[in-house]
Amino acid sequence: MASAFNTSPIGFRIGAGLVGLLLATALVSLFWTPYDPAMIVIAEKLKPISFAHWLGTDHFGRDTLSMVMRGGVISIVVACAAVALGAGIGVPLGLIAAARDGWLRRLVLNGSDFLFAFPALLTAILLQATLGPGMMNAILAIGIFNIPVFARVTHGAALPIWTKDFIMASRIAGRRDLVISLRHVLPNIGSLLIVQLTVQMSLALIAEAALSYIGLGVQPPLPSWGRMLSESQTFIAVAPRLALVPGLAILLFVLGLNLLGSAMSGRNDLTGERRGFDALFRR
Amino acid sequence: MAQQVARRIGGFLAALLLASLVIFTAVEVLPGDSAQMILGTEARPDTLAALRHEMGLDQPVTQRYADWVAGFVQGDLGTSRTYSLSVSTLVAERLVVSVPLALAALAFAVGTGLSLGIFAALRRNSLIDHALMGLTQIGIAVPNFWFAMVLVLVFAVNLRIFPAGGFPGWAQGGFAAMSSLVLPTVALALPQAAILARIVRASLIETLHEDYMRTARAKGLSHGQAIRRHALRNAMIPVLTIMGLQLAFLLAGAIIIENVFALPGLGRLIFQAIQQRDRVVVMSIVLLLVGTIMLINLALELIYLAVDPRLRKQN
Repeated sequence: MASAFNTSPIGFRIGAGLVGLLLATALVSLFWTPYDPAMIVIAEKLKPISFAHWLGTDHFGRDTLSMVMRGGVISIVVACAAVALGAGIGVPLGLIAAARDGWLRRLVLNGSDFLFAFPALLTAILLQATLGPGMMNAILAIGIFNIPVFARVTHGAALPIWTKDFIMASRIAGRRDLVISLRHVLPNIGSLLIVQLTVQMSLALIAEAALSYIGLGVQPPLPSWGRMLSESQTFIAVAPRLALVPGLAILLFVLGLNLLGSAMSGRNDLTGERRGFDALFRR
Repeated sequence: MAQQVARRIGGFLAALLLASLVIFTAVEVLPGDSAQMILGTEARPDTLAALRHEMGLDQPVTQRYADWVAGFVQGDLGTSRTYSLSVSTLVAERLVVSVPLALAALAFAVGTGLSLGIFAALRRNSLIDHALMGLTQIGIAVPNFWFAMVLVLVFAVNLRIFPAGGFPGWAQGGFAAMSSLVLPTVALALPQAAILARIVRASLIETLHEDYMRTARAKGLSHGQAIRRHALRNAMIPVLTIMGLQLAFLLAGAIIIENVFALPGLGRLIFQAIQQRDRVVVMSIVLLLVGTIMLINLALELIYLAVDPRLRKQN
């Protein structure tokens, strides 16, 4: 649906600006940060905002700005990899389900519904606790729940394409279902899948932060936004900025992605909106 | 019709059985010998054997699965190793916190979501509509556990209106208990309210364009009457679906919020059980939650089947 504000170039520009800024910051942090984000200087602990430390320091005397910059890298890598995993398996499944009527379709659709019945975050926590914390397992735990989302969305979008005349023409020409799926169906649902990618990216970012917040996900000394939040909670009365800064970083990133997605989906389209939300509160 | 209903109930039962198998495998089989994990690799063989016997691990896997499922069907969810209490007792204790929290959050989300969504839809493309929709974008983007921390900072640390965490229990009088649930409720409800507002707005705008709205005006209804009797009712159909799913989410999804506020709810119980490797507790509660979500989905399907004649003709 999206009001004029969200679909207009303004929404797109704000979204692209936010996402671009945060991506660029994360990229820069790989080569340069004001301080080593893992460097502990107890004498400098809980310093307020100053010229030396633009966002102050935490309870170990680590530079908050450096940590926020580097923390984004992990969040982005985990979210991208998890969504890539989900799309990489889910999209082909959805294409197959749309191409083949019968047991294969029922298997994919019922399988998706089955997975949807599991509370995503809870199951991700359970998986991580079983497999052990760490980046790869965080990617796996978040990625699994992206598979049914992409399978469902791809199937739903591809099904009407199969009734089009050019598909019929292609079939008469003797093309196989696989070739038709890749050459004709996929390009026609590409824009929709890109929108879904932005939605899932924003969900994965929040999920990653939530996992790190409760102590799963990426382990120290790698900085991450979620863990910065959980560490800051003890000092919230003394140094509230420690809680505000990483949270704002997550908020701006997710907001940017959502604005981009809304702007790209671009029309008064209830089904698109609903599809996005269906996925949204399964986090 | 009866055949359709029977088929859906059959599907529900099959899915539930499959879920129990998946959960059992993931929690009980894949991680390996839990007695060994508790005692460590240095444990003496006879201690290990005794603990394994006590936990029932000396039984074959199929036997353990059958026992668990059979118990579940009869209402026996097993006994927690760390609490030495039955899982059903533990769950009942926690539901006293989780259910009021979920219902309050849903009520809050529905109240704000509906009013904002309707308000925005009736003034679509006005300045206030754009402002509201911009706000809902932010509401969706806020990680709710971070929002919870901001609420604590403002209302507990600075203004000292509400407690920062913990739960005094209902025995101390309803007021203390309720005031400790206010901030968690708001934190949980915010993203849900933003989602609902957007859906209500989109859905209502869609129905406002329907032909039956013109007919309603043509037969003499006022604009307000037409909206109340026809547009709103039709716009509520997708909204109800979302609400049903949101309730399920709120019951299971409070796990992080309960951790922020140190609330003794279902989410925290399961989180602690995972950490303490109290496997029966984990398995039974996850199955309970999954079963509840499946049940809500089944109920929604049956309601649609009863309401929408087109669905009955299919297949």
